[in-house]
Formats: sequence, C-alpha cells, structure tokens
Amino acid sequence: MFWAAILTWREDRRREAEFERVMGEHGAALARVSVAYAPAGSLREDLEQEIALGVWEALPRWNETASLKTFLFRVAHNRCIDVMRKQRPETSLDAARRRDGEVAFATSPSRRLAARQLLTQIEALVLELPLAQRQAFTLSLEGLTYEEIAEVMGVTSNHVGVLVYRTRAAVREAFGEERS
Amino acid sequence: MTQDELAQMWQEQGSEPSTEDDFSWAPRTWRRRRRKRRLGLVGEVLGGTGAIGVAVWFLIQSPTAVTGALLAIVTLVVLLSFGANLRMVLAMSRAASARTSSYVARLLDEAEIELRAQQWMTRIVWFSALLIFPWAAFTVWHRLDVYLAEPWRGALGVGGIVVIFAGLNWQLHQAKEKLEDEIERLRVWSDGFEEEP
Repeated sequence: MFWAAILTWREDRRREAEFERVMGEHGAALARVSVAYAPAGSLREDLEQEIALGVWEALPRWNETASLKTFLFRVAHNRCIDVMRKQRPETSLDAARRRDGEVAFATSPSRRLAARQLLTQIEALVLELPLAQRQAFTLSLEGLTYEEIAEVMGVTSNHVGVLVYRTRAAVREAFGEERS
Repeated sequence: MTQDELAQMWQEQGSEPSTEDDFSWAPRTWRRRRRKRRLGLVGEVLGGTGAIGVAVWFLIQSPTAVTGALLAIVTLVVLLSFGANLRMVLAMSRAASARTSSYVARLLDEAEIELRAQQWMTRIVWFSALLIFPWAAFTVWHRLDVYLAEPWRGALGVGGIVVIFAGLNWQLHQAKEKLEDEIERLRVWSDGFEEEP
C-alpha cells in the first residue's frame, strides 16, 4: 500500500513535469485555439482552461511516433468543439461588443491599439466562418503546413488549401469593404 | 497586409512565454473534476438504486401485475441508462485526440443515439403513465373509505405521481430540444469537412 502510494506520487510528479514542459512550449499557441470558438470574455477563458485540462488528460496517450504539435492541436480543437456544441449561438451582447471594437478601430490614433483592434475584427470574422474554415485558417496562422493541418483535421491537404484560400478571400473582402 | 504579417500579429497575442505557474492549476483541477465525476457516478448509482427501491416498495405494498411491471420497467431503464452513460464516457475519452473531422462525426453519432434513446424514454414514460394512472384511480376507488377519512393520503399519492410524471415529461422535452439543436450544429460542422467534388 505504502509503495503503491509512493509509485503513484512519483508517476504524478513525472506527469506534471511533462505537462509543464509541454505547456511551456506550446501553451500560448494552444490558448489561441480558443479564439476560433468564442469572442473575448469569460467563455474564451473557460475554453483556455478546458484546453489545458484536455492536454493534461490526453498527454499520457500521446504516441511518441506521432507529431506532438498536431496531437496537441487535435486535443485542443476537440475540447473546444465539445464545449461549443452545447452552446447556443452568440448573444446580442457579443455582437454589441464586436461592433464597439469596430468603431474604436476606425477612430483610434494608436498604431498598436489599431493592430489589436484589427485582430479583434479578424477574430470576429473568424467566428462567423464555418468550423472547418475556422480551424484551417487559424492553424495556418500558427504556422502549420497544409499537411500538418490536414493531419489535425482529418481531411486532404488539397481541401485545407481550398479552406484557407476561401478564408483569406473572405478576410480580403471584409477589409476591402471596410476601407471603402 | 500579407499572410506573414497577419500570422506574426496573430502569434503575438498571448505570446509571452508561459511560466510553470500559468498552467500549474490544471493537474489539481483535473483531480478535483475526477473526484466530482466519481461522486456523480455514485449519485447515479444511488439514484438508480433509489428508483428501483421505490418500485420494490410499491410492489410490496400492493403486489399486483401493474406494480410488477413497474418494477421491471424501472430496473430496465436504470440499467440501460447507466450502461449507455458509461459507454459514452469511455468512447469519448478514447476519441479525445482523434482528428477533428472524426471527432465531430463521432459526436454526431453519439448525439443521434442519445436522441433515439430520449425518444424511447419518452415512450416508456407515457406507457408507465398509462399503467400507473388507472392503477392509482382503482386503488383510490377500492379503498375509498380510507381516503375519505384521510383525504391528504389520496392528494399526496396521486399528486405525487402527477408531479413526478409532469417533471419527467418536461425534463425529457427540454433535453430533446437541446439535443436537436446540438445535432443541427454538429451536422453543419460535419458537412464543412466534406470535400466538394
């Protein structure tokens, strides 16, 4: 009994150290996955926590022959999908928050603030996209290749190309309209 | 703005290095959740045992074919619901790191199975109501003198049954609406992964 407790404790410490190492390396990118699912606010924070918990749970099942990065992104996206499937479509409060962001962008003199608000607009646009497009686009922004994105999503890399192209076109169209 | 500039800007948000403290709560939270899940499991077992216990009590109080059928139905529903929940938890835990398109397809399958189970559950509730209400009316009529002497017994018994069935029906209706919403959302998501010809 005593030795079993010691072994469990040692196993837990080893697992925690591995988790901390992985989150130290990929934590910020994994937290950004939540941006594709919820506007800034408490729901996005909940998603970030869910992602961390999902990684903690799934990490022992990682097969070292597979890429850790694609494994982690799969876990993160699946965890977000699991939470969001139960959510009702966004509230009017979220829509109002986004509109406020757009107005501030148009009037802000600060370049840094403008960049932040441009991102807010892009995030808002991403949230309007179909799920597969959202995933493909945000993963491409994380620097994953089409092959890696295809590995996360379970589609062909050609299809990833189509999804990313469509999203870029939507972004260009939205910002083109904004400027005019 | 080029794709590279956009990607750089994107990666800059929340790019400050994650310290150990940032996520150190996760193992503790997970352990707390696991304990909560175990408590939930114990609650489910106790709830199921309680429901079977009430049906056994009915059978002991009034050993008829109706109360016998009620015990059989309650036991069957409790066992099926317990088995189905356990199967789903295990299946979804194994699928946690599946490719996202497979995960969505899996969730859709599970939600459709759950919806069919809900529909069966609603039928079983109505069938049980068809058994119980005539039985309750017969019991009241059969022991009319007792219930006239102490009307609160009849009010409590029949009222209790009405409240339980109304509550079950309402809960099943709400759950069905939520599941239908969820299935609709999952179908749209799943279609998005399909490659166009």
